[in-house]
Amino acid sequence: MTARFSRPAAAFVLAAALTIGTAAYAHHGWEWAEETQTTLEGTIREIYIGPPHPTLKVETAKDGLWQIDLANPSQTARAGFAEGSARPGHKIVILGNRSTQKDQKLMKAVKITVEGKDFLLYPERIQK
Amino acid sequence: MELLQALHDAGFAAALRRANLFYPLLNAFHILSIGIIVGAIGTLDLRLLGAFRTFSLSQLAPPLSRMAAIGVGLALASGFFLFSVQPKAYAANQAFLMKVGLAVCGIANALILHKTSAWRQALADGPVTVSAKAQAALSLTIWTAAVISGRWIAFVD
Repeated sequence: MTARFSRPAAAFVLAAALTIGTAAYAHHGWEWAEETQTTLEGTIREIYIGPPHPTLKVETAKDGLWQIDLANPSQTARAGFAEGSARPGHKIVILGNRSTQKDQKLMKAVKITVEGKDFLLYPERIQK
Repeated sequence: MELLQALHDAGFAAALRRANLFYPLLNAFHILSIGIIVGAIGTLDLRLLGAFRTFSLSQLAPPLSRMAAIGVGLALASGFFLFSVQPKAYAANQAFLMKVGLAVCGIANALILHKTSAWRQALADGPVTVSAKAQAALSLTIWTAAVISGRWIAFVD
């Protein structure tokens, strides 16, 4: 391996590592989400309960599949939402803060209602 | 895909998803392993590039190489269990794939260097060749990029 080869290779690796950032979001904190809470209605397609972060995939009639970030595993468990609390196909209403990026179908839930049953993920944050 | 599902369904993967304690511990262990890799190989790379010249490579290179190899082993082991929690999601995560690709490049780069005459010369405290220095610079770049990509896994769809 020569210096002539390794320099472009290194540049490529760096550039590649930096481009990943374009689709970035964070489930930590609320800065990436809108301040005003909104409601989303749909049908649960996928449920993931566990570390590092519990999430749902919810299909809405209006614009398809959304990712719903729940609270961290402990907080989600404390809200009473566990394995068996919901199944794919269940109707769900989510109150939460959606991503400020309009093209991103991502919401951080503060309260979810599955088939009429409420789960308060962040009771202190509920605005309405 | 079936293999990923089988891994997802494995008893230890289900236990990791349920337990509150093990996942963060495993996560911490993975970070510790990465610290060992970067700390050891980074120091060795910098020495090859001309830093810490008062310490001979014949003394520094063997322990630093071994520690880096141990770090890689521990990172692979802890990483496998972290991966088992959500195999399909990680297999589709671009940052994860990039991190794995970079780690493979980093390991290959180290293995190649160890086979060269330039490495044997450096170990005998002879002059460090340009190609060995280039590989050291490449190693620093790859492992830094791998850490960045790894951290990015949580931040991409």
